[in-house]
Amino acid sequence: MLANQIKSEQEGLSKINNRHLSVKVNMEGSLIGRKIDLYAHTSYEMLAQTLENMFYGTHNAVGSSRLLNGTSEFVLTYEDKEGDCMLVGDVPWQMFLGSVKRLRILRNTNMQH
Amino acid sequence: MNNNDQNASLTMMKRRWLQDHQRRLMSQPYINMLVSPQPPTPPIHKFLKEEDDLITGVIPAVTVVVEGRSICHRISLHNHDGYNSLAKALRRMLVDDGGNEDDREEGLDLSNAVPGHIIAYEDMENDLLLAGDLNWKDFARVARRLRIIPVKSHSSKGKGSK
Repeated sequence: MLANQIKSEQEGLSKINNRHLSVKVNMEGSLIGRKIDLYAHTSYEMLAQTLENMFYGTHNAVGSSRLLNGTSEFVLTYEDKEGDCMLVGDVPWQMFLGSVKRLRILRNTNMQH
Repeated sequence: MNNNDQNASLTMMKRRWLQDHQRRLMSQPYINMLVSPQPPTPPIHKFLKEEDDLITGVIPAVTVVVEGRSICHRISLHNHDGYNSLAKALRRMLVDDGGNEDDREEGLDLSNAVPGHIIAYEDMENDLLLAGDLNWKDFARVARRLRIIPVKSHSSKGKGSK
């Protein structure tokens, strides 16, 4: 299953890195949050895949990440060091790692496009 | 309290390491210092390993709350070496099996330890998180309370992939 592939990829990366950046992920409407190691990911795409597997199940294993391309009813945001709610994907991945404190998946109706 | 003692000794160890680090830096040629712009981070994991025995004696057991039940339980996470061990303990504690326990405990993990329920925990910031994402050691360190929640009581838990 794709979820297992991704998980073992991440574990491989964690072993190489020996560093972890575990951030909390909350989805609007869900009481229980999750934790994700950002250093075990190398790109936004990979992160979006992990999140979709976590919260959507493996229904959309194939295809581009809906969280990032705006077709999902949800939007991926993060809380940065200053406490602001930012849209994920604007800055380069490494820069994102330097400022992200936690992730929040919000309903699309909150956003103004 | 005991927590303060722990923090105090950790702080002291950090300070000592930093002082040693400064001394090491000063004895190196200047060019080496230009290479690493990041402030030095003391090897916390080493300190915590040494402190493990200390921690086991000092950290209190966590409360286990089952939604819908009025009586709570307590469990000491440091008596367990992994999630499977915790799952077994929760199963014995909360599920009235009555049958042959040894047979049932194969293939037992967090997801089926308490049937119909999800095992979540509250951390130091009082956030509610699903147990199992972190490695065991980190989890035992940050979990302040366990909450066993029936599957239906919240929307889109999203743990569909099995």
